[in-house]
Amino acid sequence: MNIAFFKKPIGKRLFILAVLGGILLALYFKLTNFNKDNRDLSVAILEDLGTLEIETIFHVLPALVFALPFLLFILNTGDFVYSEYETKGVIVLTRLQDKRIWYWRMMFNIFKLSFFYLAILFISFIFTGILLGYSVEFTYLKEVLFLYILSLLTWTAFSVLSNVVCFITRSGLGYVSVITIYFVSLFSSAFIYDVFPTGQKWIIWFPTSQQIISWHDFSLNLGESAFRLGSYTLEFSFVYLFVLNIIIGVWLYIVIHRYESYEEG
Amino acid sequence: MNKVFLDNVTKQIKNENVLTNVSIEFESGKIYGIFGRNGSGKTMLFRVICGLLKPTTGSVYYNNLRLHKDISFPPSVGVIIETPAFWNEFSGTENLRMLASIQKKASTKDIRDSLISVGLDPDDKRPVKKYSLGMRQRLAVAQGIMEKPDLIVFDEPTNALDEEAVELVRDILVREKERGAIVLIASHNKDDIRLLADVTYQMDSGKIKEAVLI
Repeated sequence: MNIAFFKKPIGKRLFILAVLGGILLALYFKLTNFNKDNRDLSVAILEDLGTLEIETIFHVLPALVFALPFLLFILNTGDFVYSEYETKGVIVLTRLQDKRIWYWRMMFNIFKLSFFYLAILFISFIFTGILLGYSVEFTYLKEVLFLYILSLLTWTAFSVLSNVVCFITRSGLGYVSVITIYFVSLFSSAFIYDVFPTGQKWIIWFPTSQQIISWHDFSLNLGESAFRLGSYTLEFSFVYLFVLNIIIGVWLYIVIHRYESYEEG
Repeated sequence: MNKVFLDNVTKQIKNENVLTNVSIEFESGKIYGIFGRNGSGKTMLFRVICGLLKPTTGSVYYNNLRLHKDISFPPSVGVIIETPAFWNEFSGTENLRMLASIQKKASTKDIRDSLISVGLDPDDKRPVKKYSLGMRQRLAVAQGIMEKPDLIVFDEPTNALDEEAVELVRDILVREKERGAIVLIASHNKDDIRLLADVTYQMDSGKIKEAVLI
């Protein structure tokens, strides 16, 4: 099957959003960290894209800025599979003859969109950072790669979940539930931190926590906050996200397998 | 000779029968016209025949193969159910090429011929998003015939078409029938049915019966 068959204009839109997102985030963090000159770019990436001060989550704005690239991504891909099924399913599935092939293609597409969107976001951030005067030493390249993979797995899982909800509710509004889960997860972490300090170990079980590298037991001191969960390893997050992706992926498979399109346009 | 056979098919959606005990047989080399008011079950019937809906009870057979048991979809089918969405950023030819790449049954010549037969220019580079509704409908017809399918299932094929295009589509359907395809059309335009159909059925509240259009 020709790969062009699955080319999507959505890719062009995500490319532009990723470039703009990277520029905006780099500028925002330059403004909010004006006293930190000559930062190494890898540290800047880890602090700016992988750090959220848990004390500031209830101030809302830091959480919103942190979530911005994710929100742009999910608003564009959250109904991708569902809308492909509803709009082109008739002419595509009757040719493919097998929903499984279509499912795997769609999973690959979501992963691909997530992969390139994040890559472009990081690259755009790096170029803007260079223009803003950060040093290009990349001392923590491996850690940046870990952050990239954690974000990739988290966003892919959320995007697939959003599509699952779209199929179940027969609407393109799956992203509403996913964004809700994302923020409930963030704010619950902050709530536990503030109100139930003894329950902090539960924070590692929230999906959004996985991509916040500064909360992990990590060799770098990132951000201003001292908040870090002692036993929260990167390995835990990789396994957590891997399992989460499999569960949600299987769920999407079952939902698509059972789905019948009968809405009349 | 190909056959499609519906054996006592009932389909329930949200506890409501959209098809009730439909038993019908379609043979190659004939055009079957189905008419009925909106909501009578024409589109649901077509979705069931194409494998897009699974009967609640009863079965659909394509020759001796049972849908949803032996096969998931009819092995050779051209479908229009409502005006399908295309890849808007690409030209009509590119859209057909992408669809044809799935089964690799249609050659470049087949794609060009099908576009010409519906009155579209295969060298037109404009993206589909710039097409009028009528041009999209022509493209839909072209995608439905380009692979020379054994079964053609067209729901309202002349929707949004001007007189000239309606004539083209009618000619195409007759040619497809003569080629040996099973042609099923549903239309609220009784002229389409009257002029084209060898056998006519009327649908009402999910039930089907043979009817004569005067």
